[in-house]
Amino acid sequence: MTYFQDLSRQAPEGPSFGPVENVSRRGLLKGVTAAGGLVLAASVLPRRAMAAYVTGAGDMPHGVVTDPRVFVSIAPDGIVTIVAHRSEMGTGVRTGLPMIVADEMGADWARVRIVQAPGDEAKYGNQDTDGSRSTRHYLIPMREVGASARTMLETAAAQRWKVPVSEVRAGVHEVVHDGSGRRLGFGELAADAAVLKVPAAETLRLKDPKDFRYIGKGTVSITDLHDITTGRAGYGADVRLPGMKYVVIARPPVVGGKLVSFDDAEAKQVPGVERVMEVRGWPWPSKFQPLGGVAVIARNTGAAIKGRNALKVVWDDGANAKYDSVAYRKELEAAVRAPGLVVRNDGDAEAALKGASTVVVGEYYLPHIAHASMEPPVATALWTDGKIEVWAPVQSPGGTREDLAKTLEISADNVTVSPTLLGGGFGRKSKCDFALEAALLARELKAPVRVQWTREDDLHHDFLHTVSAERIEAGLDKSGKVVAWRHRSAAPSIGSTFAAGATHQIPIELGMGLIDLPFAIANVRCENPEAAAHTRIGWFRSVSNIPRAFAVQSMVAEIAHATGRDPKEVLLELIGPARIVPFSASVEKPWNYGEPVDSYPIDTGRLRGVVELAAEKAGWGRKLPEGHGLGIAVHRSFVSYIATVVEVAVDKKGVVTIPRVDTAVDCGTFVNPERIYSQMEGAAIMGLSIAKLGEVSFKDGRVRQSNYDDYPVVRIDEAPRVTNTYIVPAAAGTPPSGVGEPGVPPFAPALCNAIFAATGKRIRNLPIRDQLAV
Amino acid sequence: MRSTLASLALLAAAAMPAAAQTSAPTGPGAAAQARPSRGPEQTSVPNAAPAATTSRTTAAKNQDPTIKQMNEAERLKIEKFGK
Amino acid sequence: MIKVKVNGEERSWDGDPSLPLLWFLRDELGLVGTKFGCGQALCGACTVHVAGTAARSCITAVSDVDGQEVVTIEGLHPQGDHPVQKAWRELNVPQCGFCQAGQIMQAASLLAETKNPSDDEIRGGMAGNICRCGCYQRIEAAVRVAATGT
Repeated sequence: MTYFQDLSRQAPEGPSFGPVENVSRRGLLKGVTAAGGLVLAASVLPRRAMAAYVTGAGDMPHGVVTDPRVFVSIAPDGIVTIVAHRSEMGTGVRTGLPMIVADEMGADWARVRIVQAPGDEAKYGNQDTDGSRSTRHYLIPMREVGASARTMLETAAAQRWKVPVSEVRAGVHEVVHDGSGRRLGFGELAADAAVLKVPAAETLRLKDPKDFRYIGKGTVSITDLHDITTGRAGYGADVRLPGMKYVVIARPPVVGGKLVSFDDAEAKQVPGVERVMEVRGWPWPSKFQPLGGVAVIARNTGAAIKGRNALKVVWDDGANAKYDSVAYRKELEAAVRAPGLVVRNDGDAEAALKGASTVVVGEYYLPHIAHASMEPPVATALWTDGKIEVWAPVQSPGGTREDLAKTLEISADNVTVSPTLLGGGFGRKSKCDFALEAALLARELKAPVRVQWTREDDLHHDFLHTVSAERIEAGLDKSGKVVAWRHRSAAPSIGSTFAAGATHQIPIELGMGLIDLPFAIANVRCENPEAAAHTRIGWFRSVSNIPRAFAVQSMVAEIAHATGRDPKEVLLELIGPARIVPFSASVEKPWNYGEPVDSYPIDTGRLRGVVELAAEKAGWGRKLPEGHGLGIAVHRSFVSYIATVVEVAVDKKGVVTIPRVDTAVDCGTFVNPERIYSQMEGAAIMGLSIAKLGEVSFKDGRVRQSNYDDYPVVRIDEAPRVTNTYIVPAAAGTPPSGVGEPGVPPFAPALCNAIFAATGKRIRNLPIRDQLAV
Repeated sequence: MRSTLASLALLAAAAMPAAAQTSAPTGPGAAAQARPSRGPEQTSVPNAAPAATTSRTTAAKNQDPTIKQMNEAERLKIEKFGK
Repeated sequence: MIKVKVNGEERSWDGDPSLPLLWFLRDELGLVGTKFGCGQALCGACTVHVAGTAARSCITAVSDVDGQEVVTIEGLHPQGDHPVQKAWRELNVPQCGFCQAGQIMQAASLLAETKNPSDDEIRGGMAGNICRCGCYQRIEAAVRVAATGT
């Protein structure tokens, strides 16, 4: 049995995602499986002496795997290959998780190679790359993998030298005998280590953090950096197979619609078009199943697109044909002006509002937004003898594999999902509809198939971020103190994508910025009026935190204005003193991002900390030039704490520019600070797009926008001139928390608060677009 | 990052496009190529669907059992884990 | 028969002359470094060099480049060490990386035309290239490094 096997024959030259190299990738993994190695899958990660906290990792479907034989291979020449089991869409986890293994193991990063795991959660543990939880769930497990590998190498060396194990220790890519100075490289030890037992978890020693070479340092570049700069990095559309057909699909423009008929006479005349056929769709809601429509199959993508443009298609638009964003907005706004389902109720906010000296009311509307990641959805599939192989940029390769098996009605053993790099995800690529489309066609055509979505397809058939109306009423007493807070939130729910007829938000949506409000207010009431969905709703980077943080943090500034006080002071006063805030007992199903409250309580001390830090670094209170303003916002989400200060300059025509952004991040123990900076820089841009530009609207049931001209996103000449990020140093043993999403929610309210400070104009409806134009 | 606050005064005066679409020349002869059409010709049969309101649900009934099970499993997963 | 030199190599095409250069490069020639992002010259992901200048290959027909020289990201520099590529790596510019080939090609063309662009010239010159991950701060800095060495 060899799990530290010889990879020198199998490791692919160049990028791990180049043109498909079936043998190398499958060879590695088959070798590991065929070796008969036991996979010690833990359904619950036991608390250990060295891990002072428990995360929700063990509760996720398929839990956590820490068997080093699953993740680590060492070749005789010393090259260490580490498996990345989470998808790479720009957050850096494909580099970061193996980096943790390498550091703990004592491997030299220069001699580490990374291979991407296929979708196989029984083998690798949970692979859902979403929820900003890869690092926080896998810091300890990946350290255990590295510690196991290190221990086995040390044991092998000790046996070879016939000395006690206590006298040897791993250095950098080698094991050293303290007494004699003898040393053996990892490559030389691999075969001996391969036949040893995996150490029991309780016996593992973890490195002292002061000995980390990579973790926490920010000195390791992403593994695909060189390939990205030379065009060799492999994304979803870069997989090429001999005889492959290129397909685009015309899908029903209205969710719930279906094909009536089509005329393909002209389409078939287009040079390069080979076939036109109907493809199956499932009625909504059907999880991630394809919408169906008409597929145009051609020799290249350009011909397929041209062929589709030549189609004439007749649709039955179905029950959502009248979905109209203007009308629906009025309904949402009316809904939040009336009582709704009570989801949190502390004290008696109704009475306190009635008795208040002043009531400040804010109504905030945020439209649907689209993910619009640079890489539109795409998938490649190959059907051979009852087995399907799919290459796709998917965030959930394990879930994709399961859905392929169910859709094709074959065993999951006959399904291989190889995730490519993702050209952005933001949550869109957690839904594997595009992979299902490719697989179904590959089986039908008995030829390899690439299904390419165009940008128009991406905008027309997204699982959109929901549309919401948020109404907050804050009751102030005579001294201006907030004594009552009533927040009504109406938005069609993500639940509607999985349950027909869902009209209320599900616990996770309520838990993102509504019922978890951490303010020191005695009377808090949260209500959720009903809102039926008429399109596919999905999760978009930071999800319901977007409208909630916008409403709550804007309201804080509105209260400050109403009472003639500094917004930062009012914010700190509302947060109250540093303390742990328990979830209100009145909340039926509190949701803490899937994490145990013991490990990740709501800690207002940390919330205050990032407010103070961001304000200090931004120079809050400094004298500003004419037309400038500062705005501040803070939000806890994905168990991290982020505060953002935005400085705007608004000219006489109402054009807003952003000289500066300062963001303070408290994400606990951190692994890859360089990627935290990039995530926060990117979140500011994403937040700016949401605040300023992003809107998907419906008329006659269909999406009105088509491409980046009518769905604009921020470009470099609109970006803040400077974005500074400050990471709060974590006390030892502080659990790590999320980084991918939490930077997004505070940006829009900080921006609009800054605009108010500069102009006196309060933005309550996004996007800003021309609202400030003079 | 160098502070570029000093250049803002110039920026305000300069005629900068708010959102440039394409700043690069698009290649010789490309102007001759019309922007590609955006999609097929599509029509819809007459539709008597009622207004799509916040209170009226429009989901399809009678889902097939496999889909019902997949939906339910995903719904439970999301309720518990978030995604 | 259309003849076009791609990365120094003579190529020919006798299919639909209106095929966008993007798909000729990617699907017919297998040069997948140039990316598809929008198909309407709005995002810049498909940027290549035609006769030494940046062009959006998604709206450039193969017939438009008959007899021309086209350079893609794969051919920008034999070892991938064009000053722009080196600056990109030095500053860890990419996140997901999908738009970066187009960004690099645009930047290389910009610097070929304007040796030492101002900050505003960089921002204006790169404004046709979208990055949804939001790497703009680093893109701007990397263009500056590539131009000036600092």
